[in-house]
Amino acid sequence: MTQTLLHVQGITMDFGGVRAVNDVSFDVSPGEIVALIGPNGAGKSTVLNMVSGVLTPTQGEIFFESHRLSRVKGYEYPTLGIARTFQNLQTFDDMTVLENVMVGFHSNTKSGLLACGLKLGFSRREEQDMYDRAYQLLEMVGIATLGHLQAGSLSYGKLRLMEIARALATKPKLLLLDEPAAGLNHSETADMTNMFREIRKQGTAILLVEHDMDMVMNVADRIVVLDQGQKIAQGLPEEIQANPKVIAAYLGEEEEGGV
Amino acid sequence: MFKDGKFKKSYLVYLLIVILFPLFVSDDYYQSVAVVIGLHAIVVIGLCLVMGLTGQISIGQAAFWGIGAYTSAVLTTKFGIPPALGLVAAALVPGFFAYILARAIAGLQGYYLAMATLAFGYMVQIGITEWESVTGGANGIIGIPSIGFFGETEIGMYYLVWGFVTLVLIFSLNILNSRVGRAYRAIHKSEIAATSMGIDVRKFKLSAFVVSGMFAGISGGLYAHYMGILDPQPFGMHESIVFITMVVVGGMTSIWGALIGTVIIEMISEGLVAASHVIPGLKGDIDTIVFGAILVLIMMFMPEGLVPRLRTAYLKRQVKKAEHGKQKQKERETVA
Amino acid sequence: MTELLQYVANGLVSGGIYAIVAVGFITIYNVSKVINMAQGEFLMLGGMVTVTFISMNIPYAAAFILAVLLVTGVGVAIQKGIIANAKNANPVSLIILTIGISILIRGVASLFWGKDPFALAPLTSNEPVTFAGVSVAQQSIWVILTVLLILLGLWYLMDKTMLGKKINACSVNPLAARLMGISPGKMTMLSFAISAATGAIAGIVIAPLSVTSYDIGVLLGVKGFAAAILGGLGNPLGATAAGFLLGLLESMGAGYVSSGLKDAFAFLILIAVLLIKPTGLFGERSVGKGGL
Repeated sequence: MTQTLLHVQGITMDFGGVRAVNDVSFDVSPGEIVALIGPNGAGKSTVLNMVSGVLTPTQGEIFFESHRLSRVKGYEYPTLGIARTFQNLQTFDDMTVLENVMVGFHSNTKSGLLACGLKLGFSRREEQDMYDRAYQLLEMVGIATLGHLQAGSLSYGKLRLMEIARALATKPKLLLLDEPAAGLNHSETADMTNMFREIRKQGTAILLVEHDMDMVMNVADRIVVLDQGQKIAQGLPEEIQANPKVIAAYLGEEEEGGV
Repeated sequence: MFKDGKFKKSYLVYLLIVILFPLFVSDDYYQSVAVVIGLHAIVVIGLCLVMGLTGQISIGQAAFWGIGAYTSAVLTTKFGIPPALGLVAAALVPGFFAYILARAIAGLQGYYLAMATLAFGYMVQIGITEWESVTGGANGIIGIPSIGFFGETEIGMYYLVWGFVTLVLIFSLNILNSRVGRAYRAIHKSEIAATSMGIDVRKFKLSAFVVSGMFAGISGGLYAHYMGILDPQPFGMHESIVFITMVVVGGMTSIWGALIGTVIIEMISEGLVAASHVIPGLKGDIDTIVFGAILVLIMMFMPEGLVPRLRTAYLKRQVKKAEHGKQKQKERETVA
Repeated sequence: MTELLQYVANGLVSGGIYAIVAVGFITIYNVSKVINMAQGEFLMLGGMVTVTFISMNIPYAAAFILAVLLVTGVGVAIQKGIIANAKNANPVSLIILTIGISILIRGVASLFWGKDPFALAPLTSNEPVTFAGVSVAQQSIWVILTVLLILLGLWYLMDKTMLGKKINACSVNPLAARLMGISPGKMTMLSFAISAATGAIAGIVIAPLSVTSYDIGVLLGVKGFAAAILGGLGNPLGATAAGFLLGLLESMGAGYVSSGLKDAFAFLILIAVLLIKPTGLFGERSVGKGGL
């Protein structure tokens, strides 16, 4: 962990008078899995949306390597090396699964309108290459056999895997995952946990927002805990498990849940 | 790519029909109908790229058609430029207008975009009508030279126009299953997801508009030289809606659908003209009623359009067949 | 000065009509998120049906009321029969669908009435009224009065009555409204009825100013849509202001620049405004995915 990959510095987000996130800072190092946890409404997804550029922080700044993200356009994020999945799936339902993943290669490929329309040699080769690599990624997430099906016909769990493959296609240095295990069963979650380790092995850092504590404790190198928009703790999984503040925050939620 | 076999078959059928048509139908009238179908098809395929693929509504497509027609007509009649060069300009000038329009409205969506393109369509038609010194105003332009492709015959024009249709069709089909086409379709489905995949949404919306504008312009140029006379009347909202009808009938998301939709609507049109000769007292716009009814019925009962509907039905049957086969095999195995 | 006043007077008349059409668009849009491109046809039908009834020797007032009722019925039928049954309705398909309805109505009208224009007698005498050197047709004054009455009535209905509150509830949150026992379907139908009725009234009062024919709805509809967008879709006050603004600018443009370019001014202004403010002049809502 020599230098930081992502440096989040005092970000705040106001939604028309409501402060959803208040002065949150944390870092992610290359190849590290950091989990962002907290009770419902803690602001986890909002943080993720700010890091991925969907929202612009009201205050504070996010740095990725040497780039100030407020100066980077939304579509340039994958070129920098940031990719994401969505909590409420954003899949291209009328494309095949393979095509969905092939969209992920967009920022690393060049074929323009003319090259594509005229099927020039290099765009043909690029297309074939994208196809092969998309297939490999589908194999990696374990849904290669579904490649030619319409994405819209897949189950929720498979679509989550497809979204991860699509994000990996951008060759990210940092992968942002918004509740990837939501709606998955036990064995699917276990497979996904293994997959995250595989991804980390290949040098990609992961910032993970997740409710499934087993998964988080299993896979995360470090954990950042949010409660009501504030960072209340950060540290190794075992430290977080023993942290009284964190326990209080989660207990509070359970009481509310009980009412 | 992975559908190569199927594509080749459809290309073959298409080429056979296009090449052989004039040999079997020698009647000048029907050949001229075929020319007009081809001219419209070029516009409609372009509109399909914008509406079907990228999901951006354009209710002003006839404006690009008109700009193309008038560009070539004015250049050839007033400045003596050869029609071939006029055609090049007929592609470039509407492309430029499409670029300006698309840059201006790139941030608009849904109803706002519909209104902006509608307004653009009206402005162009009014502009053509009012700029009398150049366009001849409501009286139009006469004496536009014909292109002369294998002589100035109907057949020559037929092959020229359908040559362009074929080029535009192949270009668009290539786009459909390519990096650019996937970017268009991604934008259609979710701009947020497209952006997160590194797609510059504005840029690709822009390029779809420009290509569709250029296609419409080429068709307009050919139309001008084919007709020999021009007036502003055909380049208004009515024609834009006819183009939309053609796209919608064939299926917005299908390039082949655009072509087939054009043929269907044009044939209905011709049928109605023929019917009006037989049935006296049809004083109204029967075709308007029919097109309106088609739009309403399609959007109510088959919003995906004809070609995608047939394709889905075909695929479902294939799957059923396959399942049926599997089941039979299983039965045999259990018996054995 | 007289010239200017004359243009202002003309502009107020057409602007008032655009405002009615625009508010008609928004009444439906706010409840159902549908832009009804057939809005202009309600005006055409209002005028044409009245002409027909009068030619059947029905008294003016009765013809007026019958025409409004009939057109309201058409509006309800469109909603009940077509729009409520449209599958997977996104903005693009709704636009196409209602464009289809619009040209269908126009086509049937051309079959029924032919393509010749018809004249409708003004409510009161043909004699123009002159003050401060500005001559105004008596009918124009009726138009302005009717427009103001309709706008006031709609404002009262929407802001002061229980029914208006129910309609607004559907617009803000259809699910919550349903839970409160308000049927969004019924409210949508009602919004079509209101739009059709106000459109028909507007169509009847403007008919005597020129002539009426099967195709007058196209441009009126488009201008009204332009005003609705210009005012910021969803905002009735904005639409009213934008309607009058369009009418005034158009009338000035026609007067001072060129009458042939009259229609182009409205659209030029519209595109210019959208360039600077993509949500319209008075629009606060986002134009993002959700705000389509």
